[in-house]
Amino acid sequence: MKWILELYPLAWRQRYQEEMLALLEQHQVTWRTVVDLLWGAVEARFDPHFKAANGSDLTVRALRVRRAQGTILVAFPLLVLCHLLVLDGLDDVFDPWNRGHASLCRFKAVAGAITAVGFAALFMSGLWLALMLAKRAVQEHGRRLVLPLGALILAMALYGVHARVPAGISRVFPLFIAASPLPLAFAVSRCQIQPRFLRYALAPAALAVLGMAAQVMFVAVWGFAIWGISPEAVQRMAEEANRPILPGGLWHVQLSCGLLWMALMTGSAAWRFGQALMGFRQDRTSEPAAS
Amino acid sequence: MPNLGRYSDPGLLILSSLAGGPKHGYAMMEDILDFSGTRLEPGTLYGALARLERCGWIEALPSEERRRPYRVTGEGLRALREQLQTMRQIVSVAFSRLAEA
Repeated sequence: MKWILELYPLAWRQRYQEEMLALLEQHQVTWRTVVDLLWGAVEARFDPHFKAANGSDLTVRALRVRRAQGTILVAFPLLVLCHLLVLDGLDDVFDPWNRGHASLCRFKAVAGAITAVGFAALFMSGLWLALMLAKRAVQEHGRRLVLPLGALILAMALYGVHARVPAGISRVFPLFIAASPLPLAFAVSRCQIQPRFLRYALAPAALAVLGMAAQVMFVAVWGFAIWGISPEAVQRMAEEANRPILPGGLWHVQLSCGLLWMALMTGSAAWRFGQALMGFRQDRTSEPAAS
Repeated sequence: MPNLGRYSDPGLLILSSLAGGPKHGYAMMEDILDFSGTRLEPGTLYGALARLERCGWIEALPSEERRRPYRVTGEGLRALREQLQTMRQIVSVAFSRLAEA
């Protein structure tokens, strides 16, 4: 039953989790118990007391910030992976049709520009965070991290030139990019973080959210527009391209959902950064007054 | 009296249980089932305990292994007494009107 208690706010868990687990070991758990605990978790989440406790407890705040960093470090390579493996290929199928529809082309150009800014911001925030946090993690965890850190930097460099190498080789890069930061993210999630460390991450993370949201909206609107305006043309185009259109469409939907999820996670991370930052500033302003 | 929301009834049951002496969570659930026939589930129990503790009506005692006993405070006893007097008045009026009906 511990998984249900994980749904409660951290401040609540720190206070009541152990005794509740002890109680649950004695209690006969039924579906009513599960529903009751789930409802209790929802109420505790909305309880201003526990919200305030979360905001004021430095340990709780640091834990949330660390999780947010891990999210960014993992979301970035995953996003690149999705983009390289799926979106690049699908663009080829629809490009001839896009060229024949001027309004859609203009929409695609605008959405593409917004997305490019978002991707650039995401790349920069990912790189910035990775380097800063890696430095911290290396300080705390020693030279074990030099190899994954080197792999991450190499993977990012390779991503920059992936268009200039044969397709067969470039397909390996995303896996490389996806795998290399994971040990680093794991290590970062375990190192001590100071809120001031994150002040530069807030704006890039927020921009990245906008970019990712634009990407998801673009894929959704673009897909609906094509299917809505001319499904026959899409079918014909798929036949000409000799590629199954249905799996492609499903990939689009899955990818959109994935991107949206990542955007929400990153947005939530940015929000936590903001909270940590504000909390840190409040601490800084209240320190002289207290002393 | 602070508003305990949906936890006002469980709160009354918990205060009544703790009026008989300090108890940990599971012992409270069993005691409440015995004297009232109400089976409190853990989510409701701890939601009410958190609110009662915040009101200062109960307080936690040092943990015994992983279980933590609670006891009712003087403030909590006063609140329980007030609540029961109100209930007694309601019961008395209701019975007298029932007899007249």
